[in-house]
Amino acid sequence: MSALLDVAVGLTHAWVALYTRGLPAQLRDARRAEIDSDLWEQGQVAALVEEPASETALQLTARLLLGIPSDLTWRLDAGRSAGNERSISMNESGAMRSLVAVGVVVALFLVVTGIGAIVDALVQGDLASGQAAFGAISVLAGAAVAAGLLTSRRNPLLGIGLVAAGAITVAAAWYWMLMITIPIGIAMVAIAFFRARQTGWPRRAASA
Amino acid sequence: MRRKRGSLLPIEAGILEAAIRLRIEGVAQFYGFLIAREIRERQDARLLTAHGTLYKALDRMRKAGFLESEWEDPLVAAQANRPRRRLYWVTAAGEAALVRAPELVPLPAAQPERGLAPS
Repeated sequence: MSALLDVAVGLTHAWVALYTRGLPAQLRDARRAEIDSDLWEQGQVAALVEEPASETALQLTARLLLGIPSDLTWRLDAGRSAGNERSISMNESGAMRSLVAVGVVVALFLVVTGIGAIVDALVQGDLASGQAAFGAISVLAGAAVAAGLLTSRRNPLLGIGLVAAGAITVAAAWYWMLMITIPIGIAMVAIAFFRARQTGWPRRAASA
Repeated sequence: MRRKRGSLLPIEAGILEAAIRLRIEGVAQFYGFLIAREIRERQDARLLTAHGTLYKALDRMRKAGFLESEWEDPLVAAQANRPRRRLYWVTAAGEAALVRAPELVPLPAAQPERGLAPS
């Protein structure tokens, strides 16, 4: 095989690897295998008819270059179809993202407050007063809410469960603020629920 | 490219015509390179159909039901010491679409008794 032919085959392989990157494995591997087969067949026929390697290289390069517009439109279509079936993080609404961000900030507030309570108890050497335990509960509850909000699209049941568990814990620990913690807790669970619903859950989970 | 449902693009008509001619010659299934070579010979062209154009059209035609495909048995490919081929064949819907195509070049006499499935 001449150097020119090597370059043409290498370019074709590189291009196919590039435009199929990020596609579902089955689709990606099928296209790559089909092009591999095509290149091999063309090489065999060229050798059989004793076509000059430079002519084969030229043919391959032309086939590669002239097909690029079709490759790109095929890639766009394939990516779109795969995206529709797969995940959804790309098309999450801006409003929902904002709500999740607010929820995570509130959860982080709990974490920071809890850490502050623990540090304060340690500084004062008063671990037995319950302040450290209160702080630890707040940290865990805040972390659960944040983690639940962030995972509610990928794993709806776990996400909603974590948010609900965190919200209930906070309401119990901060019982003197029930008027505030209960509505905020319900809002957090609602955000996780509607975020999960955007993925088609629970219908999608049932049909999977 | 927008088109009417069931109508054919020139590349699709070319693929179907070439595939049916191959079938008449006894080749019931075809693979990408074979059909590209057949089209080039039929059209007396210098270049083979571009990879992107060819495989995008095959994919589209398979989704439209004009073609069916299956991957060759890996053992067959291994015995021949070559990569596996993806084998295609024309369906009844594909043949009907080609018959409806207004710019159709007359085909040799059809042999419906041989069926459309791969041999």
